[in-house]
Amino acid sequence: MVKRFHEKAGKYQKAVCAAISIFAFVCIWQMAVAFTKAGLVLAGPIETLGAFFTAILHPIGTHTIEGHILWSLGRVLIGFAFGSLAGTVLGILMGWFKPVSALLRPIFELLRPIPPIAWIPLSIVWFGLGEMSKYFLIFYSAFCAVTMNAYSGVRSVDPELMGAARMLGANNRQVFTSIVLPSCIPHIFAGLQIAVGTSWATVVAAEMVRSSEGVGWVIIKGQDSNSTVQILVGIVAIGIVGYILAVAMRAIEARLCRWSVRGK
Amino acid sequence: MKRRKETYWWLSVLSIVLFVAVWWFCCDVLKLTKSSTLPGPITIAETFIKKLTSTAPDGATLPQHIFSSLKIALGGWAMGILIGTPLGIFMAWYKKVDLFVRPLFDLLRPVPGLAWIPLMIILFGIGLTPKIVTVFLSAFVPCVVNSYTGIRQTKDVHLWVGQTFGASDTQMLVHIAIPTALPLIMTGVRVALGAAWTCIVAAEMLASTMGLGYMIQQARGIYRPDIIICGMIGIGAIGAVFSGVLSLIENKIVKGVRRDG
Amino acid sequence: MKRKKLLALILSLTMAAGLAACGSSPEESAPAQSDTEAETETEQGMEEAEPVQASDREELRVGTMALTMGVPVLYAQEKGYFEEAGLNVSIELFATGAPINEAIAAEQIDIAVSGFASVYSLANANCTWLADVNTTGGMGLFARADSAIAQNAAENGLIGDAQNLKGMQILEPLGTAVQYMTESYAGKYGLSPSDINQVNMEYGPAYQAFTTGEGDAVAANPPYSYQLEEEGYTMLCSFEDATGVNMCDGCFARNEVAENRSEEVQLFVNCLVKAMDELQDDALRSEYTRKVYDDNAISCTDDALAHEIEDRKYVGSEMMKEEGYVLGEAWVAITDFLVTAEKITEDNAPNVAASINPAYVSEATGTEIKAQ
Repeated sequence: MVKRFHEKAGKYQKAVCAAISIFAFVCIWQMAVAFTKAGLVLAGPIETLGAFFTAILHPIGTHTIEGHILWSLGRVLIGFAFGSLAGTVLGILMGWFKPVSALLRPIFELLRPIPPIAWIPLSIVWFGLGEMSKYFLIFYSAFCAVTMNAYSGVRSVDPELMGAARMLGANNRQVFTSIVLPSCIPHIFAGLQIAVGTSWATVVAAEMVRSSEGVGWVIIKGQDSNSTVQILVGIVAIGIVGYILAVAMRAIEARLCRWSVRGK
Repeated sequence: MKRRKETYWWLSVLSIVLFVAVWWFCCDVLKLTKSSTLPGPITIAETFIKKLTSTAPDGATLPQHIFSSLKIALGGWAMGILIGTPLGIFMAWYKKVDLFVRPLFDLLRPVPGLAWIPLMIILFGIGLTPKIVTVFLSAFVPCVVNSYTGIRQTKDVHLWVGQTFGASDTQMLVHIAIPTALPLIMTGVRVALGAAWTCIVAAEMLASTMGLGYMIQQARGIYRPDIIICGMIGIGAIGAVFSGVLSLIENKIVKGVRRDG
Repeated sequence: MKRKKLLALILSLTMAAGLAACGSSPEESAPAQSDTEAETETEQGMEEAEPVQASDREELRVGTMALTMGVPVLYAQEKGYFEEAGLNVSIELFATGAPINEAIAAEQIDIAVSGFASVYSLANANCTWLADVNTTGGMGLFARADSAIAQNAAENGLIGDAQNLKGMQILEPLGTAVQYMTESYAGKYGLSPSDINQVNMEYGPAYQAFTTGEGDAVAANPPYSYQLEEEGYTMLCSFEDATGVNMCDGCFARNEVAENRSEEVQLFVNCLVKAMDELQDDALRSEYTRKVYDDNAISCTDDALAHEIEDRKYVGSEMMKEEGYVLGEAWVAITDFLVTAEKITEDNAPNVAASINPAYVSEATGTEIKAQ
């Protein structure tokens, strides 16, 4: 019997495949830099990785690269935690209670498409130049992604299941806790995965407000002084940390909602 | 349930009216903020009407900006769907694709559009293409993630039934897995349009003379908060229209999921 | 099933917690209520402006950039000049001039040391121009050496001709000093701004695009202009030759601060002038600038730094005492240009000239200094 989605790939197989694809990518990059005019303005992978490892010991600005990563990570995690919490709550409320949806959805839909960069001027007015305005920008981007998914999660619960439960005498609360909540969890986790990505990507915009540390700051400063090596060091740091966050998110999902992965 | 459907539209109208009223009350009546930091809705409305025909201070009228941004966003979005959704489906369905593509996808995904700009210039010059590709990069991610998650939701029982009836692998994908994933794929498409539209400010940092993002950037540079907020509302309103239209389409396309409340 | 129940329980708990949190801070339930938030925030902002510091004076918040214009402030801070004068100065570093204007308008900073973008704050009628900090040499318009326009002979520092200039694609950040330069340059050949094709790009990307073969010309400021020169591109004009004005970066304060805390502002200007006088020593300036750049991860070669020191002089007391020195000299010409370019409205234009106040630098240097 085929069990398509949970045959375990061997650990080695997984690692080998990942290594091969990343190695191929790095080779293409190196070749592009060495043989095309991209080399004029773009640093190669060897140079970039060299600079990255140098940055572990020698500070860029006043912090080493780990320091920058920790600063950014702190900002992202705080913004993400509050944003996803608030987003889950609002999304579920909007999905389950029609009046809530009618009241808040228009404003949410109106504000959602506005990018974090466009919020910078207002966030300075509201939250000043400190950490709050950075948290706000990250909160905002995580919030939007999670709310959308939680909302559509509740809305796409199989009505037959709900009907069946009601017929068997479940009241509204029971339908909500034992059918709606569990079945919208995959949606919420898809939303959380996107939110981890977007909030981590927003760190560049957030650190544009004003900062003197963080991975976004490294990239911004690199752009200011036309140092592609520094930009790429920032990008590599963002890529690696983002990857770790995504993997962690997936591990949490796999642990918490085994049923949705395995079928019943 | 259906009976009550009509009764809530006034709440939606009320919420928007309330929002503007609170804003107006705080800015124009109580004067809690100076008009140089957060202008009231009346100032914004005046600026908006002026911008419909005037090219000051950024060299294009509002409709021109909007049209230019739409071109970029829709182009990037279409590319994102055409490439992202199949990729997500293949990654979820074929293990080999997953093993090779996913590490790269996860590694490159968190890199923000802003950071790609130097590379875009080298690869695509400074015309329309690099902007569309920048938008594509952010529209692409939700398409992949959602279609991937959607396919993974397919129940093994359903597949076994398919197998029992002698369905081929492709048939199972097309007739069982994809329909199961459709609601999530559609959510992905909707999120992607949001992401694409949101990305225009970043994309238009790249050699522009027109566009809503360009307008906001310029207004920041010369400190005109009324134009910034005008641009934000423009982006918000058009985004909301997009999302409304897509919801309608979604309801029509997605079979087997009835949406009552 | 058990797991599901458990998870449902956790979710409901989280929701309850979230709701409670929403009750206490509306910002989390929906950004829709951000107006009320703005209100509380500004209130807090006002409270902060009241004396809260235990030290002798309330904080004087200065915003600047880690570039030439910011170095004297950072130097004075490190040498403890502000402290000696009894000032409690805190410094915020920004990446560009736009957020400095936003922070000034939001009353998050009291004094700004900034560049061309300052003019937009001055035009808003709520700021006072206190002092020039440094001249802004080194900006220029560059074309490829083998392009038709670069074959002309130099005349009054300008290279070019109307025929080739017409329709040229020029990469530059719009709304900044270089737009003024480019359009003045075109004007010298009888062309209007609509005759040339200006494409908006930040300095860095514009440089990258131009060196990889995009565009016909690029407007650059240091360090890009030095790199372009080194790489053999032809400079069509410099900012000074095209516009005929010498622009200065400088320092301005919010009117509220200049009026209510004029004593502190005076002390601040005194310290700034003192720092600029000491930084006239090239070796000291080079050493300290290098330190500031390193702290802020700005890569800069030794040559470029030497070049910059040569091009961009600090406006120390000696220079201010010279015959013919006028504070904020370039602003009026620049304002006229920005009005025709529709970046500043005609109503706001007189504010710029009115905002220039030579009293502070006159006091600091002990001589009468004229203003435009």
